[in-house]
Amino acid sequence: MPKIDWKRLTRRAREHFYDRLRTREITEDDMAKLMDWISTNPEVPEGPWCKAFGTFKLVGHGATPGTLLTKDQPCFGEKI
Amino acid sequence: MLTFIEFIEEIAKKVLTIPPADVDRMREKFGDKVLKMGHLQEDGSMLVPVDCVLEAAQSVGTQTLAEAAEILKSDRMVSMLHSGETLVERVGEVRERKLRELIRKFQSESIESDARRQWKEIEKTVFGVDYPD
Repeated sequence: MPKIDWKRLTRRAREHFYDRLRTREITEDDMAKLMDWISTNPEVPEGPWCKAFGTFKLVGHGATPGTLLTKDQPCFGEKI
Repeated sequence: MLTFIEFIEEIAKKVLTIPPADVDRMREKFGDKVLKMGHLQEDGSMLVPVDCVLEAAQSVGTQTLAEAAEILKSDRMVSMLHSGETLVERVGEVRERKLRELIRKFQSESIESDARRQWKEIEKTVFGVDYPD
């Protein structure tokens, strides 16, 4: 099972984080949850995956983190 | 025992590196709360922000800190276990509190260039990566 390589997080995904956190669309609580999750160096599926954090969802493919979804957008990939 | 210069060099770093064997030992003793202290690396080591360690150390008091250091470096687990655990918990709490403070400042910042600078700190804190601009 791969572990996420956060160095691969794209500028575009980081800009999404920037905009949504700045406008409070993503809450402080959910960013803290994300930090805690990242701190565990979690294993993820080889294929597409999706992780929900309340006000947003994060999708990825294997070790590569992908983009952000809003809380109302459907997950694609394996829910973790 | 660190020399004065070694001590200054250590606290001048932004992050401390806990070797993999120490991370494993601490997780055996204190569980997954150890993970809240910082970012695990591929080799099993952990990067912990120095400012969080210093603030946590100040908050637990000299007696507790001395006990915590003892328990962290040795395998003695009986009466002193609580001190080490307190320090580990406190580092995680300080780290989360600092993130929340950064986010609040970022969200209320009216100057965009300052918000960008604050975001860089948030990125480093959350993702453990200093992304290029």
